[in-house]
Amino acid sequence: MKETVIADAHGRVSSLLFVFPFRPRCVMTIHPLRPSDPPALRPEQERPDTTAAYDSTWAEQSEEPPPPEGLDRIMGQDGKIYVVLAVVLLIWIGVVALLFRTDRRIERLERRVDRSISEDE
Amino acid sequence: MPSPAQPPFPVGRRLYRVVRGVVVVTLTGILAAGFLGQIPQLDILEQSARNLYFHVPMWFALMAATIVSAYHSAQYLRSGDRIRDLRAREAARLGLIFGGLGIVTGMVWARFTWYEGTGVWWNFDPKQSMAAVLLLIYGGYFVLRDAIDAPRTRGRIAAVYNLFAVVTMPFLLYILPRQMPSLHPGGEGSPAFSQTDLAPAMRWVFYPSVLAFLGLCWLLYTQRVRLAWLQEVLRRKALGAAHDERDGDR
Repeated sequence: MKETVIADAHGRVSSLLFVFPFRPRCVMTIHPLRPSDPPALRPEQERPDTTAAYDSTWAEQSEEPPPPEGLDRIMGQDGKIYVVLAVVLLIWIGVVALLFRTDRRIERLERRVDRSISEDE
Repeated sequence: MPSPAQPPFPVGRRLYRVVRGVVVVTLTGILAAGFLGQIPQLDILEQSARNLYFHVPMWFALMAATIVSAYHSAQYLRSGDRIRDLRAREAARLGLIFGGLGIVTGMVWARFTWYEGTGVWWNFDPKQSMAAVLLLIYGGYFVLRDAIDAPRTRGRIAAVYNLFAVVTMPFLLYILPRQMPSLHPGGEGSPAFSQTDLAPAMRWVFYPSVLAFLGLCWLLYTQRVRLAWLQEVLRRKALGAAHDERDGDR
């Protein structure tokens, strides 16, 4: 099987399953791609002075912002991962609530059907 | 006139409640541990290695659902009990749902990890393509069911199709993808369960996660089966009432 592997100039190997007749848009890699470096900016693109008024950072900012306190301090730790965790847990609580509500409704229906059957007999 | 027998109740309510409690508690813990637990720092994967806890269990759930579905199809062919047909249908439905989630989560994972910066959403990874084929096969099961009106014929034909469908599952998910270069582990042996592939700290989250998602799949499947059971009881009741009325007319 190895003989059929054809790598291009970047060492990428096209998929053995799907070989496209023309330039393949999708390629199967053995060695994963790294994100390519951003293209270099031309000097005049780099930082035109005309945008300085829109900058959100002030060069002459003197005071340190006060350290966050309470909940802000906990949630802001470790790159704010706790914020993501809170969001996911909220979604999970919603899904669990739906699961329980559906169960309750099914049980109610089951009891009703059971009753109506025993009344018939 | 023999009144149509009531089908036996599909599941013990106590068992269901116990599993539900365990699944809710375990999955909550896994969500927290999945985000906060220690993982090895690896190139390319970086923090996305945590996806292991959520993406891979989808496929365990799919495999379990297809096997359960095939089991009930075989039982339907043996007994002709309609509840078996309904169980097979609902298990296949859960398989499709979890398989679809597995495909989508895999696409997002690959797009922003191995294919970061390339814009490639679908990279024709062998496992990905084969999984898509498997989902199409199970989609065909539902198309087939919807195409047949007579319940007994539908049940029999769908059950036979389902038995053929499950046979393709291990080939499409395991055997074929491991013969080809892939992003997925497995070409070099048995991944995740071998001694060296998975960091010990991650095992404590990954294995419970697989079990918990299997439990979640079972809960949702059981909900659907209970609804199908209700429908079946009402259907038989309506049939019985129709019979009684006809007998009274005579």
